[in-house]
Amino acid sequence: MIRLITVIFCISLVSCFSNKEDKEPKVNLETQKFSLSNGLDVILVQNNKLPLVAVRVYYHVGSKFEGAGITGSTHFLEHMMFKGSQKFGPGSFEAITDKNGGSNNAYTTNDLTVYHEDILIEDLEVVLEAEADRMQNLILEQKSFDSEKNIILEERKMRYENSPSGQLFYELMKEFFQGTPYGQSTIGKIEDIKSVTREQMMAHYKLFYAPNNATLVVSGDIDFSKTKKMIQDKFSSIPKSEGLEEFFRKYQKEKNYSIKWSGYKNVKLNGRSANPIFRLVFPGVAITNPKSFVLDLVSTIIGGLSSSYLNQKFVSGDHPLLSQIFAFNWTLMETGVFMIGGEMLHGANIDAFEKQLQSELKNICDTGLTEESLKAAKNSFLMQYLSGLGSNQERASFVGDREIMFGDYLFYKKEMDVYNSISLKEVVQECKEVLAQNSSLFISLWEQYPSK
Amino acid sequence: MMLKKIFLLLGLIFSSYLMATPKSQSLEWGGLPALWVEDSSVPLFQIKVQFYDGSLFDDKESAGYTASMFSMLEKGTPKFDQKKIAQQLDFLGASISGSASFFTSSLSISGMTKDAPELVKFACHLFNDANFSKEELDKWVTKNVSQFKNLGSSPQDAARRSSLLSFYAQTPLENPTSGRISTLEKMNSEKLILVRDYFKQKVFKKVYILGGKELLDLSKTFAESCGWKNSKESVDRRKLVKDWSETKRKAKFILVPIPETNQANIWLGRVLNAKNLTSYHQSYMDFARNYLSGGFTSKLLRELRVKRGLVYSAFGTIMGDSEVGRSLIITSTRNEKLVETLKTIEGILKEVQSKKLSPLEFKQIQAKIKGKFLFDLESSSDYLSKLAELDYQGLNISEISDYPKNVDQIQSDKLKELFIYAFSDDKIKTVIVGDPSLKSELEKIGDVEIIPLETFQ
Repeated sequence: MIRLITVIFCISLVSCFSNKEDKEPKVNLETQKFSLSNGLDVILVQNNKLPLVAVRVYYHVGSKFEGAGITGSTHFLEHMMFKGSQKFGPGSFEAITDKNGGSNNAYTTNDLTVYHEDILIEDLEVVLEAEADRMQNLILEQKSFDSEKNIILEERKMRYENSPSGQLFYELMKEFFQGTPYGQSTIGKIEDIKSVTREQMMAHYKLFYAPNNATLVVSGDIDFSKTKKMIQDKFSSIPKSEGLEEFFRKYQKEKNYSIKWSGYKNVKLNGRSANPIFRLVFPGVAITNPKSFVLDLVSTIIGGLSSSYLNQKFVSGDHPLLSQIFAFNWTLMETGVFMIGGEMLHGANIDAFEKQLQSELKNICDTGLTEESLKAAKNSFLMQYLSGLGSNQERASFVGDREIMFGDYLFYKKEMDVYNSISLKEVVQECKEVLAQNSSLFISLWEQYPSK
Repeated sequence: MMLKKIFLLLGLIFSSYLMATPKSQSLEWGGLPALWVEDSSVPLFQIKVQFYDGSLFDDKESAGYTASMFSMLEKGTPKFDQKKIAQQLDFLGASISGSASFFTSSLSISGMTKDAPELVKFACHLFNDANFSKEELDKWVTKNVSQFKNLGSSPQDAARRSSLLSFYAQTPLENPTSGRISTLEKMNSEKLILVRDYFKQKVFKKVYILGGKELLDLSKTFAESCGWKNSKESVDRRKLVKDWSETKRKAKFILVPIPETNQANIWLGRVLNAKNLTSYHQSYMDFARNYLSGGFTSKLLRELRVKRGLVYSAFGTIMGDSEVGRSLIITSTRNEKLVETLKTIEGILKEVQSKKLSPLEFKQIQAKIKGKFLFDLESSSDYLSKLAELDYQGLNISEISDYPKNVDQIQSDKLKELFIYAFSDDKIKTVIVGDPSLKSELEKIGDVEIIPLETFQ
């Protein structure tokens, strides 16, 4: 039955916002959340503007759960999820999403694996059926498993081996998080990609791909009750992963993400870049730590905007040494890093710059942070926040990411209040704390460094 | 039967879509023709002034000047230096920026609606009074030269630049928009002011507005602050593109060596003469692009990745602008599989040039591009961009509602002709960026011209 759309401008109407002079604009989405008895969490976002819908399936498994010898297998499994399940054979998933102009993709991080589709509303039922099928009945056919190894090795070359910033990032994680699960890369070691077996991957799949380890988000031209029933029909019968509870109990007990070294490390990598590129990294905090919001503001003020202190000092000022610089508070689920990075101008001396940067950082929290720069940082977050609602996929991500990160899909309602409540005094204090830590890593890459 | 159902479904969805499209209105705003798309969903706005000329204004000696002028608009006026400008914009969470492509250029303003009056005045000041001081110009040139000198750090970026410059050689696009080290180093403030004044005074302009109704009230503010007008003499680059003829390539393959690279980056394509594309509706280009790439069901990914495991990604397209078209295939593979990958691509192209697609596959792609057209218009900002694109092509809004009809009218024979023209074997250039040792592999299947990377800096 084809349903002509009803133009209900919910998020498209000013009434959904109250942008009064004295208040920040508020976002209100039409949402609903429920859980199935097998543990699947579901969030629905209604937006009946166009007959389109976005689906996101979050699996709470990232490369951090990989043991020795199977690094990269979470990402590898993400590739294999497109290679066929019991009811939907090889190529079926793409055929379903592509046939009416839709699209699908996926990504793997240290903490998560996420699958997402943009489809016409008429294709929602079959896409949910296919997602449910690959949640429990993946084939992992041997021939395609073997040939996919070559494709992943090509991806590895493109993203890491032939990209100086990728190479730098790979080594940064290895050095900074050595001895912790974040120290092993998402893409994995070459030898592990080559040697991982179908049986190892199937065990990984059986443990982590289950409703009690997933969150489903559907956003678009839906009717709450019909969509809820559709999801119950497709997903309710999928059994829980029985070993998961035990795995997480053991993981929580044994996990250790604390930095295993102290002092100042300076690592020089030989790589294909005529201009040195660098990252200066300090221990940060997990995304759920309240300090993460303060550090977001610190990073934006010191290096996230054109007017930022470091930008004006080293890139746009009177005597530039760099072609670009940034500061970034990267929060992961278990911990985080506070990072400053950039690229030197051709011929600029990186050793001299490193000393100058360290000297600047001693005073930056006292001299570089002002009420004006704090307001600019807050406005920058407000713009990002309001700009992330254009498509159904963006809305699905808007609520889904917050559910995963903060355990509350409605966190978006208070998020800007959290940023706005942070004072300059708190920002200065946190700035001093993060930059004065005992462990920090300066890692750089340049073609003129000797190769090991 | 299934496809028939899909076609009926897409027809109805298109009708629904048209009922739900945001309100748009042509009007005069600030003394210029304008198009407004209403969107009050968030208290944000975007205003883009489109100039109907771009880097084709530059000649060989001034390559890069137009793009530099637009990119340096936030670098200072006699009243505000770059730091004050950055502080002012960051404080408001706003952006004012300029950019240029070959045919058009633009000044874009975005921010919170409450700040729009202030930002409109500020943007006009930044453009009209930009002074391109020697200090800022020196920094700009140093930064760009530095990046050109580091081109080899990313084989993918090196492949992009060296391939496009190779394809564009001896066509109207031969002077790169971003310039070259040699031209940027000769740039000075006076020359950039001349470029600024040309765009300010002589080039045809149109304004695209996205946001609430209150933006319409800023017409007078914009007119008074910018003072820009069009006249009958205003330059419109679309009318100036000269006729050109294709030249013969020197060798089948161009190898741009970057030592110790373990992946071969492949760019294959050519520049197309617009006069040979006039009979093809945009839907033909969309068909070609979606047949070649865009998901695992596309021909390139099916043959290169799914069946043979040769590549991670592959992209192919035929683009037809109103002046110059382009055909492209981009991928990368491990060094030892370069020849097999090239032969597979050659096989794919021969197949589409010699055989018609099966009726089933043809219908499948028609359905796919009709649906995709809707996704491409999902946000108000996408919709405004589409309207701007139609404007530039001299087409009207009915192109959107007529799209399914135009897709239905795509003819199999004509599509085959398009593939033959766009990828004719004796005219396409194949650029490989990778290890010097690839030369001997390539020589097994064709003649090779070696061009050093420095040529493209």
